Amino acid sequence: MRSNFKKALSKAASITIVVIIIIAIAAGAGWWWATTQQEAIPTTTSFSSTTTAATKPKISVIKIGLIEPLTGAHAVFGIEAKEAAELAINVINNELGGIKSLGGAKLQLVVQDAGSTPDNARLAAEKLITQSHPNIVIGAYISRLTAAVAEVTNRSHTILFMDGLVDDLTQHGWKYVFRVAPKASAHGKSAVDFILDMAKKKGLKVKTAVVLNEDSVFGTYTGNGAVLELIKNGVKVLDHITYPYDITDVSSIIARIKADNPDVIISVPYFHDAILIAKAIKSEGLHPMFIAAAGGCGYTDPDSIKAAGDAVLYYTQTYSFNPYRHTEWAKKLVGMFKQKYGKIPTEAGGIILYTMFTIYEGLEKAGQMYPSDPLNPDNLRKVFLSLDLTDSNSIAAQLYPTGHIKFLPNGDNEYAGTAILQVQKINGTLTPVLVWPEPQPGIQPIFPRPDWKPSSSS
Amino acid sequence: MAFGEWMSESKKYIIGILVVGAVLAIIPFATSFDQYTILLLATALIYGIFVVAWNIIGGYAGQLDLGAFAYIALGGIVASQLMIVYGITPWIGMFLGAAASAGLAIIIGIPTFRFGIREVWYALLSAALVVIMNNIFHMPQVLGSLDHYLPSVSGWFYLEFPTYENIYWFVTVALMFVMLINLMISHSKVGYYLRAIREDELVAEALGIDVRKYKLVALATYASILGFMGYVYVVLQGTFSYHTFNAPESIGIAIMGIIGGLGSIAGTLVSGFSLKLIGDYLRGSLGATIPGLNLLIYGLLLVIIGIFEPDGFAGIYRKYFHKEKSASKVSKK
Repeated sequence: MRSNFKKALSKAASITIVVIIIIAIAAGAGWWWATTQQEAIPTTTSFSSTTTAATKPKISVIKIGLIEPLTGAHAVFGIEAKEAAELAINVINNELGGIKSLGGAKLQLVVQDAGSTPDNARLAAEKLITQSHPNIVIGAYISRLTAAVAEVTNRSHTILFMDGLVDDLTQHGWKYVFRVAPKASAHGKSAVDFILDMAKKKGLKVKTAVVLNEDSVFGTYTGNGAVLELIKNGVKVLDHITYPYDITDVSSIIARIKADNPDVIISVPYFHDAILIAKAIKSEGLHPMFIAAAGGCGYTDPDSIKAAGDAVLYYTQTYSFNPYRHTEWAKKLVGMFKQKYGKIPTEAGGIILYTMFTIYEGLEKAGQMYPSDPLNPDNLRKVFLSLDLTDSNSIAAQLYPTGHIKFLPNGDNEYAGTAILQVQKINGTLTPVLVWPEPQPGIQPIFPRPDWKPSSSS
Repeated sequence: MAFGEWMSESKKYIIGILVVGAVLAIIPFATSFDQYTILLLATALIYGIFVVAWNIIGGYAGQLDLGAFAYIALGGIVASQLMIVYGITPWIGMFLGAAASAGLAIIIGIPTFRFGIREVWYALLSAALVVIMNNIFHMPQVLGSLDHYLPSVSGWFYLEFPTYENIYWFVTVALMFVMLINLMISHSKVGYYLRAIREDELVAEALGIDVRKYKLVALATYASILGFMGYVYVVLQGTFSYHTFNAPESIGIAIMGIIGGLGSIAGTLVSGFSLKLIGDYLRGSLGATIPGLNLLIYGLLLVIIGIFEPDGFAGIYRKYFHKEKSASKVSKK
């Protein structure tokens, strides 16, 4: 009985294989047909909206796509980004009257959830591109999600403004990508530059350092940026320690640092680990010249200050966005954000604010440079590459830590830089204040740490 | 049971597989090559394959495996690295990836089954495997923290394409093979042994079934299918890193398998395909307006199925199937 059954099955199996081969051949034929057809399709679809407008541009709405992780572990960043984008678009459309050079065209925000894995992000990007046809896309904060989005937008010749900070995102040869925010290694570099600048002002010499970073892709690039800048400036890096961001016991790390006895410690934390490290450094009685942190979150966040208390006093941290910048538009937009959402915009929201206003400046210029075809992606790319935004000529630069935005051919900002906040005791309460590159009025950076105990070796 | 009935049943399944394959193959034409729809369907179909493969270990052998992405990621990373480093075509790399995953399954399976680890303990062990692999690949000597990218090339040689229909068709064909493998196991000696093991391992052993051997066969088959499909999964991700060893998604595969109905090819396929499709579709349509609403609806859906149809999609199918069968008997009379 079984042998008969087997025979029947093998017959059926052979039929199946034959059918599969037929399908495969059909698929192959379809592929040839599809590829020869589609050679032309991407250009026609992506340019169709603009070629019709070539003779007489009449643009009433410009679609800005936003792909952010709105659910999952990184939702807190994505939701703030969405809030910031809504605020910025509202200001551009209502207070600034849309894009004036394009006849007052309004911006329209189309949002997609990037989810938590790259295939989620890719689907979100594909849905946005094929169904909403955005002129410009912003996304997606987390590097691997951003990469998945960039692949889709670049293929369809759509401009993507990346708010992911990992260095390599601008190194894949993607033509239609830009990034206003400082990349991860720039954070590490800034933390070092700040220390060296302060030491020089105070007549001190920094000879040795220890770098420790959490081992995510962002932490790794930031830590490496710090190490390279230290070496470049002749500071000896005694140790480069990496650890998982969800570490629960930092005592062995602190013991290593204590044994190294460096002049300065540069730390790239996430959230929870920052509190552990700060408390351990205090209880173990480490007294280095200075402790600086890089990477946009950790020691100077309000929540960390609440949790760690005095342990984070005098710690500094680099940020991609400076909410305390003393320019008209920074004060205005931070105020509006605070009024609307009840909090100061942090990293994720701040990056979106200046990115959105950079897009605004670019679209204004596109209307002047290419009045007949302003939204053509190649024209837009040229426009963005030609921008040179400073505090005096733009809103975007006023929101940016260095006050200067000019794109390099790979899409990165040539004048990218970070702001540095320090935890100081103001009227008895621990407060994060801006100390670098230009301190806020009435504030001086505190350097070196008042509890510094110079070791005999240095 | 008469032989004729058996043969007609397996024939019916094979015709079913062919019909499913043919319908799926036509869909891209029906959508006039809408890229989002095709990508969505391809993603859902890959999950269909994962869940149908899970049916071998979870459904037939009754081992609650929570380690799917240990095998998917390992196979995918092996094939990707072979292509990136040595320029080996994924057509070879995918088989080597499958072999690597099967190898991992055997290394894990031999001691696990030797020491009689089963039920919740097996579930825990397989869930831990994903986390362990995640940590191993996170070490600087292996992949480190960085994201790794597939080179931006296209063509059948690399199995990477500027549009998604080719990968969709590839997945469709792969799905047919996986269903066929399932069918062959289900109707073979191995299938009966596995079901006997699922029902009562001690009795099965007393009857003289080599329990360890057949559980290992089931685990290795399941792992090699996942390892083979790993590269396609990486292609859809665009990047791979230690994050590809995704513990929550692995549990998701098992949930889909259970919702589908243990031991049912059609049930697990429908479950994996439709739950992934619904999940991603809801994220795309609702995720941006009310973040998290899609997850709530998805969760509710699982609860509703759990309450009203504890046998899963297979139970719904069986009800309908039996009705039809009895009706046909009546008409014969």
